[in-house]
Amino acid sequence: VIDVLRNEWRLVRRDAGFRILVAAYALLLAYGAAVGIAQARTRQAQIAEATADYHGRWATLREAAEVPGRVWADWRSPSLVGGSSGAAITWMELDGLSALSTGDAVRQPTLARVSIYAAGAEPPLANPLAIVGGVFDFTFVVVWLLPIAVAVAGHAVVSGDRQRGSWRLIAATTPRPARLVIARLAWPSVTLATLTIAGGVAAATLAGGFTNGAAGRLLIWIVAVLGYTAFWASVTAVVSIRTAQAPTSLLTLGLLWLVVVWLVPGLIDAATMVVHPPPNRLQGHLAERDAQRDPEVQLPKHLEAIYAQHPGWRPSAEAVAAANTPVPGGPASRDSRRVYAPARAAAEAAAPFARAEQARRVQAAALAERLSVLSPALALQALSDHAAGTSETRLAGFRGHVVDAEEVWRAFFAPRIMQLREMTRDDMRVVPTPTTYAAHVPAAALIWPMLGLLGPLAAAIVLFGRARPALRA
Amino acid sequence: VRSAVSIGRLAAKELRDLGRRPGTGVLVTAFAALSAVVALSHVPAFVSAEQWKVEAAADVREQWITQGVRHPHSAAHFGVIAFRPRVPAALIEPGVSDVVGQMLTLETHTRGFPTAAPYEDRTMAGRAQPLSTSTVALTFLPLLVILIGYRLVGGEREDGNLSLLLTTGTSARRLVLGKTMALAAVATGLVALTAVLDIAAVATVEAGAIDGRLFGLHALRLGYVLVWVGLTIAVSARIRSSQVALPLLLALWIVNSFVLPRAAASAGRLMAPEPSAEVFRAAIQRDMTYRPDGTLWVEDWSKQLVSETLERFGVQRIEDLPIGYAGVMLKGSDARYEAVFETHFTALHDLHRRQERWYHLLSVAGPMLAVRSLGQAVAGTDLTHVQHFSDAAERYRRMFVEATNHAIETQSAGTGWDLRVGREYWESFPAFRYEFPTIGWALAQHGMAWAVMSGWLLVAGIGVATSHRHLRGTE
Repeated sequence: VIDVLRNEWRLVRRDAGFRILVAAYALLLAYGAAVGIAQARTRQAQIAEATADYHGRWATLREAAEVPGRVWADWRSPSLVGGSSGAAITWMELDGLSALSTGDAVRQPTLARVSIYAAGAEPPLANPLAIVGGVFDFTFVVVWLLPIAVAVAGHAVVSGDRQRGSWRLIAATTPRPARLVIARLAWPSVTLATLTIAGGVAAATLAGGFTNGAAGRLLIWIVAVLGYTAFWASVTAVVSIRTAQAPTSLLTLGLLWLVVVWLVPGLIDAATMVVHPPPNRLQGHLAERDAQRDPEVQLPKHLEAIYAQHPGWRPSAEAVAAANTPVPGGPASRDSRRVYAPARAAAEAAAPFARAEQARRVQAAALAERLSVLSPALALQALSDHAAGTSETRLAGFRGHVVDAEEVWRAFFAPRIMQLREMTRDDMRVVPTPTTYAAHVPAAALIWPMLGLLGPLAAAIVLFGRARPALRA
Repeated sequence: VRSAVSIGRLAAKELRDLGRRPGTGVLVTAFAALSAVVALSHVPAFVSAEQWKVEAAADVREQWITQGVRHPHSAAHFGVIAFRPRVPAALIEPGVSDVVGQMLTLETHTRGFPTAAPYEDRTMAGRAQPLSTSTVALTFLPLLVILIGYRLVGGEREDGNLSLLLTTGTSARRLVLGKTMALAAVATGLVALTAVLDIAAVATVEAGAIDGRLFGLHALRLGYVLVWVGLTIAVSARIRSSQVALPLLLALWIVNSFVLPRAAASAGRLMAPEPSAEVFRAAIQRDMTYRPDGTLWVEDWSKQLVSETLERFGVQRIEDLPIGYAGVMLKGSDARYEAVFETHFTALHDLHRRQERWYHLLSVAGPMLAVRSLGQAVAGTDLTHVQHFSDAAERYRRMFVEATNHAIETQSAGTGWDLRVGREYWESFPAFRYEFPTIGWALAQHGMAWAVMSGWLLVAGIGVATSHRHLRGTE
């Protein structure tokens, strides 16, 4: 076996076509890595910028606290501190492994503002043109182009010799032709897999390194890449054994690639849309707007609804009168309840729709992951997303984290707003600071994608075993 | 004339041969079935999405009219929602429609982004471009051309027929042109097939929607497929072994269809990354509140405005003003806010344009990007149309913000906060209506794509025209 491997290694090293293939694949990997690294660094810069902005706003508020009686920058207003001026930020922690897969981070926010008026985080501002066809990241290269590289390198291992008429001689003179096929495919596959793994580790290191728990995620990714390479190498071997001509092998592998990488994921997407149809996004907006109609009629109702829940929040008559005395040249009223209560009512009217939308998204994502058993490409995509920390499930977790942080934030400011109570310097010191989101998806979530990768690999190996008699034909 | 007749005969003979090949029929049937399924399967969703927008716009209008009695500025905060319509040709070429929000909330003191993009509802399985009619045609038509034509010239040489053919009086040039014509005829037939399917699908959406846009889409598609006809013939004539020609053409096809679109799109973000929504919003908020030196803007400005207004009307107190002061104040503050929005949104749109230039620059490497850009322009689903809609919605937003501020100023007195208006006033606002730009305007925005597409046609033409030279050795 060693002799065969050594001989094949000599042949592979001399093969100019294989060298070009490896160079082209390495170039594409490098480009995918560059995109991932740039995205990770941009994200880090954005977090730094948002943090600086937050500290800047708080410095201004503290400065304003030293100058009493400022109508427009009154730090004593809980509505102002809890709203635009003092709003906090929170973000999802992503380490260097995020450079491997953009995942859902292309359409879901990883950085969000926490304010009394916020209703969840805003989606990223990506150029539609840049995301319509998918992102060229490291995972794209592995999922889409690694199979092509393996197929191009190995499609002719048997069929090429058959076409030239030399296979009969080889089969007759080789005691175990299956081992020869394995040896012929081993070096291209090992080279491509090694290149992929080394490139991935380098990209992750350059993008910010590894945090605690990254070792486990990196291991999962390495296993996934190896499994995916082995799957395509096995499929290539089976197809090459079963076909008589190299072009036929290549065309068959091309067809399989289209089905596994493109068509099946497309069908799975369509299936998830049928099982979990997209919600009518307008309903939440209409409910929100309904709550804002007839504001003067509805305001007392909105206020009463809050006071009924929190009787201790009622302000004194003097406080109400003072807040509703117009300031020369300023707003009609500084009674921030008039803004906060309708905004809460509107947010609460829309909340059931937002929750349903969120639940539907989580269910659809879970279904897509379960269905990834049908496509090793989708399974690798899912595992790469989990390893990178950019999976739909994790981003859904972050959205929940933002909602929770907003609740804590409101719980601090709402009593002060509703009681028309001013912020004190002591209050300013104990304003809650949202934590970042560090949690990762539990290992149990990886079962379906792992099955999606290892199941087809096992099937391909079985098919290879069954195709062995054809090597003698 | 004799030469043309001879080429025509050769083409007719090739067509007959291609028709007899069992593989050709299988490929064409599979393609037709896939195109038909995709074309018709998108119709219900498209119809219901557009119908939903019409109904939703009516609901929002009803809410606007029946919002009750309130201060006009409160109504400006209540705002309206604009819905981005699509022309029926968008069914064929959805372009960026799926990744752009369908509705845009318009209110005072803020400029938003379209929300509710269908793309957000998809799972990881739908991250790659969904199968649209256009995607199927632009991806698989070149593949069919390659599979049908990769042996068309080279195969004659491999099978040993070329020398024989050339000794019968057929020149190499006529042979190549005849085979090119045959392949082009097959390709044209396939494009015609997709046109019939597309017209049937669009007619299901709206009977009167068969217009110049559809014609333009298929004319572009034909040009694109002819580029692949030229490339296939050129490679087939130049490469001695079909075992090499096929992988080479397939590699070109994969790069063009799958690698380049992503690589080009990501190049833009790599070279010119956009800010996050939070950073973008924070920058707007900062500029709305502070001067560049970090001092609060509104405080001094407000004091100055009060004194100027009182002086203008010769009164001592705001309560004594004959106009609604809130209207004057809001006009002033909104003017500043609009300038801030304009600065930041223009910068963002410019950034997107810079990213788009990178996209177009890489389109030199494959005709797919250029034909897609032009097709999206024709179907009204490109970035230019998205920005055109955003600009139209923004003009409408400013109109109603200015109108409400003006009403506060002119219809009230004193502080201006006591004014109340009702249904009659809300009805006086026209509903938002979006007028699509003309195809000519849209196509004029894609000079680079035109140049690239023309360049590829030229390359393919030269490739075919010079192919006969590579057969002379055999001659």
